[in-house]
Amino acid sequence: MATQPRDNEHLARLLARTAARDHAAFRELYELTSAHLFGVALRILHRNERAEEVLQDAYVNVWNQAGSYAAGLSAPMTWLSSVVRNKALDRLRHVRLSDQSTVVLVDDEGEEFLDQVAAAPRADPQELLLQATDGLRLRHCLGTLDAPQRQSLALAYYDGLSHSELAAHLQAPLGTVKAWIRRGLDKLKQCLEQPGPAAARK
Amino acid sequence: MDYERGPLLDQLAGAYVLGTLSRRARRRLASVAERSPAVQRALAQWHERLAPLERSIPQATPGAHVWQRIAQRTQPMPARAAWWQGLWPRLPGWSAPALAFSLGIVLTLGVLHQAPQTLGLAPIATRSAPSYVGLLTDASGEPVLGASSLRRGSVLTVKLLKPLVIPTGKVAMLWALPVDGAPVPVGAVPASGKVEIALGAPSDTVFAKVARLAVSFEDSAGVATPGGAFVLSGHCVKLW
Repeated sequence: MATQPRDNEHLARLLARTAARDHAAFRELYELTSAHLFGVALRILHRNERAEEVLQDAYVNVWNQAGSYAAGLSAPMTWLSSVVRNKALDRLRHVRLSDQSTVVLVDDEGEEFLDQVAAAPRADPQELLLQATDGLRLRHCLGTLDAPQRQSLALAYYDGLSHSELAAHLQAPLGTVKAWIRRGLDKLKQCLEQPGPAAARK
Repeated sequence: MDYERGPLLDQLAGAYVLGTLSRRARRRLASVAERSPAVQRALAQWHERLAPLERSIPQATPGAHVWQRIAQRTQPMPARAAWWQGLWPRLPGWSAPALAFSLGIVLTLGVLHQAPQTLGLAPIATRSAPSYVGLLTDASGEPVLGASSLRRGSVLTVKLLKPLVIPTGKVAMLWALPVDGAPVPVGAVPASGKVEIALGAPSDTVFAKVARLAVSFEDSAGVATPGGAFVLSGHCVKLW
């Protein structure tokens, strides 16, 4: 994954050339970023073909909308992954909705999906959370959250669980889950915004 | 609900990026974001905050067909010997530039005569009025695709008025249907948005005898004759 400032500059240049209809630059952008972004889509959608469709749509979007990338707002890789993540989450919600319409019991929208999740051998979201934040300021900040807050954030981020799916999975009332997420995100933001020792920053 | 207010916006943006919002709430926030820089900023900030979490997700290589399909949907058409090039008389090497030169003079005089705006003599608004326009509708008569080109323009601008559902693995091809001949491939069109297709000859030459435009789904952008049925079609009209 390209995270170094130099890589970021290069990716930003490729995006600018893509906006100017340079197809070779677009291809290079794809080659540099597709493995990471496919991983992101696959993590949320599980199925190869669905993740590939989302990836395909996402890059076509990038080709059409590269001009709207604002370098001041986010790093190029963050922008690219937000395109993929949004599409994957939209797709996930859509898939679950259409799965649901064939099921008679619709009150427990999370149940069926969670059975699938449980059946597939995948890295545990909390495990991923720890790996991701190794040595980062974000890790310190995640440490300030309660266990349920941290767990619901991890499940939401890595598995794309909605509020109601989280409630089913964690066997907690919907209102409680919403509060965990809201307070968890709040605390995280406040902690990340505090000035800290430079070494602990990402 | 006022989305642009600080704390509520921040909560919604955080939940959106985290992924906990329902489908309807996601859609609503996304459509508000299209018009609101404040919402865009809040979303970008959350994406940036949570981005490090992606580091631990294992990378995976997508199949080679993914890039091929992306390329089909994005790549400008490869240059190909077009049918109208056959109309150009075959002349000895030296005579083509000479002919082009004299034609250039004739055209320039013609342009100045017919279109004084070239020298800034006409109001700006009329300068870029498209000359050839096509509006393609689907089977139910709904307009789906608009195409336009300037008189003597070398580019056809194609705009999708609503998203086109292109079957996986297929390419949507735009065809020009001349009154007296077989369909001629113009170029691939995307599922949504806008694309400019290079014509390879001035629009007057390309569309002189074209009465209709149509779109079919093909296996690749390189096909010379339409294999599938036309899913969109409409008249191609010369405005002036």
